[in-house]
Amino acid sequence: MFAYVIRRVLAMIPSLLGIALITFSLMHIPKAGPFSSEHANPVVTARLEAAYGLDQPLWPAFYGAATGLGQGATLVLAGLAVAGSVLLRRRRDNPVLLLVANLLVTGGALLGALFALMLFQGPATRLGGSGFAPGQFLRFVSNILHGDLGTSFSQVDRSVTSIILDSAGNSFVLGLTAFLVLVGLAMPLGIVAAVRQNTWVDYAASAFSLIGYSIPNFVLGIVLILVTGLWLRLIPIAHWGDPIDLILPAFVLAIRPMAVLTRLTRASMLEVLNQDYIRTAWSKGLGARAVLLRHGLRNAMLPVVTVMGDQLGDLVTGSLVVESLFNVPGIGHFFVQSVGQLDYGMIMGTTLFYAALVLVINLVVDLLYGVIDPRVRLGAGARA
Amino acid sequence: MASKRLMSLASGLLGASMLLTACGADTPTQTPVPPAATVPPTVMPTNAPMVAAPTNTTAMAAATATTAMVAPTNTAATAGGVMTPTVMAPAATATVSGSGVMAPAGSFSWRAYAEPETFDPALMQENLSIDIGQNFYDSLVEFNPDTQAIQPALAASLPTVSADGTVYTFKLRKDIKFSNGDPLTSADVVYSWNRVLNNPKAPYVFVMDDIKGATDVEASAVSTDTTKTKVTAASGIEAPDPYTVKVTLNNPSAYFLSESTVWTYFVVNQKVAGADSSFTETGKHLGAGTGAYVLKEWKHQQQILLERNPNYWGSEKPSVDVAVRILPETATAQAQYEANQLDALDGPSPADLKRIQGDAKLKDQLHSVGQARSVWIGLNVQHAPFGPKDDAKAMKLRQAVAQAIDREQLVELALSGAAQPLTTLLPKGEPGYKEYTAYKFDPDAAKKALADAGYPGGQGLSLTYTYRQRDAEQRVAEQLQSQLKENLDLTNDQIKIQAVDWKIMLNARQAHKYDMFYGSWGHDYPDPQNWLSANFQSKYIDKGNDPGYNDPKFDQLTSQADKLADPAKVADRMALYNQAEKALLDSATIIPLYQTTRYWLVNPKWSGYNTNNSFVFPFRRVKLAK
Repeated sequence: MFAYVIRRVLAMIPSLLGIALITFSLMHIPKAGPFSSEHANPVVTARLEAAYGLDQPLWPAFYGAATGLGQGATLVLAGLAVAGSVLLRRRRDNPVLLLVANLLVTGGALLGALFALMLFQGPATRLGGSGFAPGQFLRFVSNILHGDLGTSFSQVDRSVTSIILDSAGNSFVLGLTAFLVLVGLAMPLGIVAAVRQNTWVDYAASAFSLIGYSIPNFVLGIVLILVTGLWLRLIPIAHWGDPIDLILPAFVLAIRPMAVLTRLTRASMLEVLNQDYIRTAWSKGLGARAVLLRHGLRNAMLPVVTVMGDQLGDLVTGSLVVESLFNVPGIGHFFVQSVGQLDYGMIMGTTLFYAALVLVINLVVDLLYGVIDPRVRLGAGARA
Repeated sequence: MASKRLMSLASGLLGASMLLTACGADTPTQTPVPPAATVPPTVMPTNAPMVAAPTNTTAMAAATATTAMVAPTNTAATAGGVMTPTVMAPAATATVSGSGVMAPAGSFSWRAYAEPETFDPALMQENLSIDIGQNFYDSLVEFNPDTQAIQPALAASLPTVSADGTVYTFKLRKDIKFSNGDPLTSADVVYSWNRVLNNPKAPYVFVMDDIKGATDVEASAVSTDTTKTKVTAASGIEAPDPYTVKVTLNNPSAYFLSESTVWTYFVVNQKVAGADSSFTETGKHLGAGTGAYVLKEWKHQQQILLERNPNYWGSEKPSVDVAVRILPETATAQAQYEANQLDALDGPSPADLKRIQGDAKLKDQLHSVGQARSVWIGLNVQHAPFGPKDDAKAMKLRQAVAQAIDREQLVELALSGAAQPLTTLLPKGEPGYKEYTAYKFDPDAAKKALADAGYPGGQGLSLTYTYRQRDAEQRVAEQLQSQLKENLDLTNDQIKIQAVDWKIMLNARQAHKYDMFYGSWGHDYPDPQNWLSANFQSKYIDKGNDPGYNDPKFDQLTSQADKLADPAKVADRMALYNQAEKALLDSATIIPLYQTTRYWLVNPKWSGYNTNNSFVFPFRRVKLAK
């Protein structure tokens, strides 16, 4: 079990690296930069790009006189690595040599890809002299390993890390509150709807789900602001700092996932409640609580927990719409704004932050499977 | 089964009632009332004393072409309609003050539509940062916000200029203290200006390029050559004694005084402001500037508190603290304002204006001013179909498009009247503005011109209007398309519209990729040189002259006007610019559409809050109305 957790945590690293790679590539596709502006002067833009290191080539590159030699050497090394790996694989009996062979072929593939990138990228014309430039992507990766995500271009001179930490905390608090509201309301409602199937309780729950799913959250939010803030003057509008400010945005955030979760819980419970072992439990004379919760809910939980994990991930990373509406200083709007402004540091920072969070939540959910259903064996003995 | 029916009925009723509340509660219809109490835009006398053309065109033109005021990326404010078009507030709102204390009692709360980028003068470039940041610092001279004349600020009087026009000597006032009590000396001025030159990330450093030695410092700041010694001070900025600053320019540039009012020249305290911007964070700003306010607290994305400077040197002392609330969502800000929890709302949603103008209480609180920003359609005159510029058929096509546009209807339908139709490049209120219409709206003449151009009835025509992806621009584009279709008898295939992300569009537009595109300009400082020469001289064809306008006569007129430094000849200078503008407009290379209007709501318990065509007035003018 412990080994399983360690393996999963280690596996996050290549995932994050892959995500960083894809995001970085996508980010640089538009033919525009963060400093494009209405009054942009090519001289000033060039100077700013140099100051932020954006004039470096994107990928590792040899430049100047070393280009031919360097690229040739890369290709040769790649070929040698792959050849060496093929030779070593002949010795199937020796596990150490097999491991080395695997490493060699991975290295060779990477070098080959690097060579292809260098060709595709073209000559690094802006650099004088000759030599090897690690390029923006490798520089970014090495900075991350030192804990530095760079500075934002729009929030000038503020580090991406500090912006994310400041705002993610607020989003997290709001998201967690919304999650508690969600689980606290949706699960009981779903259970009751399943138990009292086809009664008015069931229909009420279905209607509530339908409404919650259909109303756009910004419409609901605005109506609530008007009613409670402007007409009834109950809650200060767009304020953040007191617990009372959490109520409205948490509710608005939670309403759609609540609709989904209610339906899912109900459906899952219905399926379980029709099983033989439940009938056995009733006939044994067990009380409702034991039957429904200990036997029924626990078996119904697997799909529910999966969806809950997904919803938690969405909720704690902020919602652009709800946060804008209620003026919550969260991280939600950065996801959208940083792309529009081509704020490279923020784009990478927010994407990796969200990706890391999702990976962690997925791991927790997987571990919970083992807790909920003892038949699930994770790790070495897993068949699922 | 019965409960199922009951359930459906109940849901139906619930749904119907929600629909009704959404559609109902319309404000009673009224004839559109023009915004009450419109503050007339500051009228610039044409013989503006301070505007003087540079004698050195190459350096100046490069500098002015690059002086940039990044237009606010005002996605939320103008696109407040993304969320909901109208705030359905009832007419009768209680006058009871809102629950909950928002800011220190007695302070003036002002809405910011986004988080400001920075308050470090070396890095400031966007309007919002300047609207707020101008309260923290001063420079040697400044523009009077009412008259837009240059007046001394930190300097005791306007500088003396040497006979050859290259040396400016400023005498500082002797009684000025920074907000922490440190006295201001010329050493602080020298430090502040060199600080900008040494910062490779300063986007506006080029406004200092005319100073001798400035470009050496800039080059040294970005150089990675370790063999050369670093140059960290410009030779042209000197402080011969603690209250004198002597500036030497590379060439006589009568433009320098206007430039030195730009925020990049703000003076900071060398004991507080280091090389980076950390002094603009909460609790660290005391003593950094000489302005009427100090940055007390900056809670990112929430609010910024401005505290009065007890050591302020000016005669207009600030009377209240200011709380700047960061409210990107316009509907939320509007609700806050109407609940009396916000004192001034800068930029209500254009879609909400009709309701506000019809509301008995709100209409007197709404003010507006024409901004120094004009919007036009740009036509690529480098190749077909709209070029070459002097080709007769291409000219006829441009003329046809120009005559097919009804500006009044455009502003009314697409922008709900929240702009002013304009037929020139320079907007009203700008020095050098002269009323002129090159092509009046005339659908019959337009159809005839289209036929003369070789496209009778639109046959063979295929145009695409490219616009910036934003709510207001989309409505304008749709309206333009509908007007051109109707007035020129075109079909949907013959005139298409496409939206492009702003940054991508900027680059592509500069590379002349579009035939018909959205164009707009907002000035950096009030002078026609910033509008005409910087944007349409032929030498800038790949550097901002996006239509590719190439007219030797225009070049000659504007260059001549740029060089005309004699303050007694201002009228002649303006006349030259007028002729150049007329040539540009007659060629229909650009088709002006409208001038943007800035609206704001301010609670009548305050007086003194105002905005001119560029910036909000300094907050020190705001006081409780008697």
